[in-house]
Amino acid sequence: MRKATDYLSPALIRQVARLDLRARFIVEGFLAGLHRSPFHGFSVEFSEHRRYVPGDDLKTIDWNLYARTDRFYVKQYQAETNVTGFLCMDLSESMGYQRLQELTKFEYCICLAAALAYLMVRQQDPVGVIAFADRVRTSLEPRAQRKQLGNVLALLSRLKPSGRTDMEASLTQLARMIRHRSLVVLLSDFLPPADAPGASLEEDLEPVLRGLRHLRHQGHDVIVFHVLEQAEAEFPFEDLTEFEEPESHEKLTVDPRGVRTSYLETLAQFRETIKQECYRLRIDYVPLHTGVPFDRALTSYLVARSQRF
Amino acid sequence: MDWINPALAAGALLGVLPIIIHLVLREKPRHEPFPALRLLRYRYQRITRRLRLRHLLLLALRVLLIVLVALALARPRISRSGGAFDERAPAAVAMVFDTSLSMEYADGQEQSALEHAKEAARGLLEELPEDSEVLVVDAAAPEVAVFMRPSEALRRVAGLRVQPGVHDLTPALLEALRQLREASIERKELYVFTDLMQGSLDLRAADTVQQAMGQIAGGVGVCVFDVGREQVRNVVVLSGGPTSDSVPAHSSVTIRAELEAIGVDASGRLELTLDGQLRGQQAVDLRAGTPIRHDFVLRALEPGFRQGMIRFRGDGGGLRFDDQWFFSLEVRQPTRVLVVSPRELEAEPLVQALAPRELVRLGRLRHRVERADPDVLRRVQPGEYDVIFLLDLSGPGRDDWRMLAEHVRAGGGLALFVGKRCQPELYATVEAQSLLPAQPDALADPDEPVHLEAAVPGHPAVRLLHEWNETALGQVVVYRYWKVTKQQDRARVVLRYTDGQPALMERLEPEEAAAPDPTSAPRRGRVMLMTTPVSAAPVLERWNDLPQSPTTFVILMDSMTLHLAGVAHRRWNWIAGQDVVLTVDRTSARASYTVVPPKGGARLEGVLEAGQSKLLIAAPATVGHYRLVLAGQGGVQKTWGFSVNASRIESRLERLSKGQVQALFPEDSAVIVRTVDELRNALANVRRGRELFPYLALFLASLFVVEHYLANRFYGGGRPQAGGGAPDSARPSAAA
Repeated sequence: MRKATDYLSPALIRQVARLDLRARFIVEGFLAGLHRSPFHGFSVEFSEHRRYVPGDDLKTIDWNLYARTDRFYVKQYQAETNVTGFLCMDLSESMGYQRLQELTKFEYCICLAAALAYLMVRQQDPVGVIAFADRVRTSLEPRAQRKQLGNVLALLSRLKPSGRTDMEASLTQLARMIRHRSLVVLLSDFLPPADAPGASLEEDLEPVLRGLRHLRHQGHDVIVFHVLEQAEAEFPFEDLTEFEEPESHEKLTVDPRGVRTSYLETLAQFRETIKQECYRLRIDYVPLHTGVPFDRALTSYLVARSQRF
Repeated sequence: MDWINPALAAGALLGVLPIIIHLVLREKPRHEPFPALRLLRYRYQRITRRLRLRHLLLLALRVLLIVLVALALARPRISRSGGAFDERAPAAVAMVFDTSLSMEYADGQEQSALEHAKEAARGLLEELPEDSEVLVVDAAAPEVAVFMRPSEALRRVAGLRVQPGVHDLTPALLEALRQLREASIERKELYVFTDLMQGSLDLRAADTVQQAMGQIAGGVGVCVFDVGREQVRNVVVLSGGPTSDSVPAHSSVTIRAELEAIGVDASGRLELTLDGQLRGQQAVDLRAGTPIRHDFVLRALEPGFRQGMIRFRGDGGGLRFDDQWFFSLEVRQPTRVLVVSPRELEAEPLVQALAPRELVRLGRLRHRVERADPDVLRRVQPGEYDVIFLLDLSGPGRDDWRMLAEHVRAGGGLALFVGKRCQPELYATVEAQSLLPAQPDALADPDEPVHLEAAVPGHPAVRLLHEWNETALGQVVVYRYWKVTKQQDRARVVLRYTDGQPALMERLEPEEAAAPDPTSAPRRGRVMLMTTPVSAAPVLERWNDLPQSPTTFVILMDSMTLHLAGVAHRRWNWIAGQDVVLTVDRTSARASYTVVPPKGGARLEGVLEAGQSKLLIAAPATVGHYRLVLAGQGGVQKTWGFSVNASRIESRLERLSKGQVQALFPEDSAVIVRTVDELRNALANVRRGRELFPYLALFLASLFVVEHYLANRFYGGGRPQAGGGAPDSARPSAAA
C-alpha cells in the first residue's frame, strides 16, 4: 500500500507548486485584465466599473453604460475562486490494471487528483472526492481548509479498485449527491465489461454518455480524464494469448499480431465517440495513458484551459 | 516427363510436416489480464475468419515450398519427343535441307549458309549410332529421299547443292514427317536446316504440319537450325531485258534494268552485253531499300536471235546469283499485213496506225502493210501474209471465204470490221461461220452513244492499252454498231460496249474454249471480228471516233496485229522452276530438235511433229542462256534460244520470325538454334529431355519471397512504434 505522501513527491510538489503559482498568477492576472482562473466559479459578483483599456476582453464591456455615457467601461468582478471541485474516481477493478508502466491506472488517476486537489486547496477552493464503481463507494465532503489536502490523499490511498463498473448508475447517483453547480473532474477508463449487453461499441458507450449528459444537465462544469494503461493504448502483445477481462472474467484467445490493427482502430473509434459527445456537451476531454507523464499532461491541459478563460 | 533422381521425389511427402506442426504442436496461449477485452470482441468474428484464411494460405505456401524443394532435387526433365531416350540408342533422323539460292549467301570469306548447315549436320551424323536411320531430304527433290545409314547420309549431305526454283520447304517437311511416321525406330528426330527467309516455310500449312506430327506415334523432336544472317547486304538485279521478247528489225529496243541494294548502300557499274559484246555501261549509286531503273537503248538490230545479260559490277554483297539477269531477244522481220477495203481512203487510218509514213521513210517498220481492193482476196496465197484486215466489206464471197480459211489454217491472222456495207446474209454462210466467232444480225443505233470497255483486260490485244491507261477505252465514243449472234462456245468477247453488246470478239477453237488461255499458242491462226468499223468516218455517217483517238487506236491496232500474227505469244525469257513453252515456226515436216543448256549441261533432244509449233521443256533448273536447234528437212537448221533466271523471291532476304516458325509446329515442340553449341544443347533436350531444375529453383525463390512477404504483412503490420498509440497530447478537446 502506498502512503499518502508517495503521491506527493518533492518533484511533484514542486511541479504542483509551480502550477499553483501559475494559477495564482492567472487569477491575479485576470484582475489586472490579463487572464482568469482556469477554475472560475459560477457565483461571481460584480465589483465596479473601470475605464476600458486596449487588451481588455470585449465581452466584458458594459454596453448599457456605453449607451448612457458614450464611454467604454468594463465590468470588474470579485475574485472568482469560490468554485467547488469534486474529484470523481472510477474505482472499478479494471482501474487496477498495470502492465507496461509502474503505476496502475487508478494510481495514475490518484496522482492527477492529488495535483488538482493541491491546486484547488491552495486557491482556497473547496474540494471533495467521490469514488465509484457500480455505485458510489465512498466520498469526502468538499472543504476549503488547508488540511483538506491531507484528507483527500488519505482517502485516496485507502481505496483499492474492485468490482464491476456501472457508469450510468454511478454518474446518476453522483449527480444527485452534488447539489450545487460545481466543477466535476471525472477520472476513468470508461471500459465496458466484456459481458456488457450492448451489441456494438456505440451501445456499450451509451450509458456512459447518458451519465455525462446528466451531469451537464445539472449545470456542472465537467472535465473528463480518460485514462488507459499504456498496454491498452498500444496493444504490444506478440504471442498467442488468452486475454481475461478482470471484471467479468471473460476470456478470449487471439493471435495479437493478427488483431492489432483492428484493435487499435476500435480503440480510436472508442475514444473518438466519447470525444465527440464531450465536444457536443462542452465537456473538456483529456485522453491519457499511463505512459504519458501525468505532470506534463496536467500542465499542458491546465495551460490550455486557462487560455480559454 | 521423367526424373533424374526419382527417389528424392519421395521427399515431397515431407510436405505434411507443416500440417502436423500446425495440428499437433499448436502454440500454448499465454494468459494475460486485459480490461479492454470488450474492444477486441467487436470485430472478433470477422478477424478470426480472416486470420484463419491467412493461416491456411501460409500453410499452403509452406507445404508447397517443401514439396517443390523435394521435386526440384529429384531433377525432373521433359522431352519434346514425348519421352527421353538413351543417347546410345539408334534413332530415326530426318534432315531437311533448304537448298534455295539464298542458302548461297556468304559475306566475304565466311562459309555459305548451306556449308554452315552441312557442317552442323556432319557433326550430328558423326555422333549418331551407326544403326540409326537417316533421311536426307533435299527441298529441291523431297520425293527421292530414302532412309540410309549415317555414313551414307554424310556423303549425301556433302553432295547437296543450291538450286533455283526452291522456295517452300513445307513439302519436304511433310515428306520427312510421312517417312518418320513409317519408321520402325522409336526415337524420332527432325532437323530442318534453313536460313528462314520469307517464303521458305508456308505458314498457312501449320494445320497440315501439326496434323502430320500428331500422327507419329511417340512424337518427334523438332530442331530448326537457323543458318541465316541477321544483318545482310546484297545487290540484286531485279530484272533486265527487252520490254518485248520479240521486236521488229531495225527498230529501237529498250533494255530495262532494275536493281536494288539490300541492307547497306552500294555503288558499282551496270553493264549490258549482247551476244558476248559489251553494248553499254552505267555507273550506279544505290541507296539501301530504294530500287533504281536504268534503260539501255539498242538501235538497228539485224534480224536474228540475240542473247544478252545485265550485270552489276562491284561489291554485290552476300549473294552472287542475283548480280546478273539473262535475257533472250528475237529480232524479227516486220509482220506482213494486208488491209482490204473497198476504198483506199477508208483504210488510211489503219495503215497509218500500223505503218506511219515517217517510220516507213526511216526503214524502221514494225509492220509491212499493203492496202488492196476486195478482189485481191482470190489471189492471196496461204502464208503470204501474217495478218489480213477486212474493212467494212459487204461480205466476202464463197471463194473468198475458202481462201481466208486456207490463210487461217496456215497460221495467219484475220480481222474483220463490219460497217455500213455489211450484208448479214453474206456472213451467215457455212464457209463464213466456220471462221467467224459470231454472225452480224442487225444494225444498232442507240439513242445515246456508248463507249468501249475491256471484257478481258489481260487479253494480249488489249493488255498494253489497259496498262497504259485504264480509262482510254471508256473515252472512245461509238454511235452505231452491229448486233451479233455469238457462236456457242466458239467466241470470246474481248471488248464490249457499255450497253453490254460485244464489240470485239475472237473465235475459239474447241480445245481453247475448254481451257481458255489467251497466251497459249494456237493450233491455227486467230480470227477476230469487230462490230464497228475503223474506217475514216464520213461526216454524215459517224460510227465511232476510235480513229480520232490516235494513241488508243495505234496501241489497240498494233496489239491486235501482233496477237493475230502470233508474235505476242512468243516468249523467250523464263523463271527457273517454270515449265518453258516455246512457240517456234510451224514445221511442214517432222523435225528433230536439241536443247543446249548453259554451263555445258546435258543436252535435251526430241522430235517436233509436222505442223507442231509448240515445244515444252520441263522446269529447267539451271539459270543462263539455252539454245534450241531445230533440224528440218534437208539438214536445214534453225536456231532459237531462251533464257532462264532465278526468281527474285530468292533474293528477298527478309526473315521469318521465331514466333512465325514455332507457330508452324505444335506448341513448344520445336526449338530454333543458330550455333552448333545451341544445337548440342537442343539435342540434349531432345534426347535427354530439358531439365526443369533452374525453373523450379527460380519459382522456389519467388515462392519464398511471397511467403516471407505475406507472413510479414499478416503479422508484422500494426506493430506500435515508440510512443505510438499515445494520445497526441493532453490538451482538452472540448469546445473552446
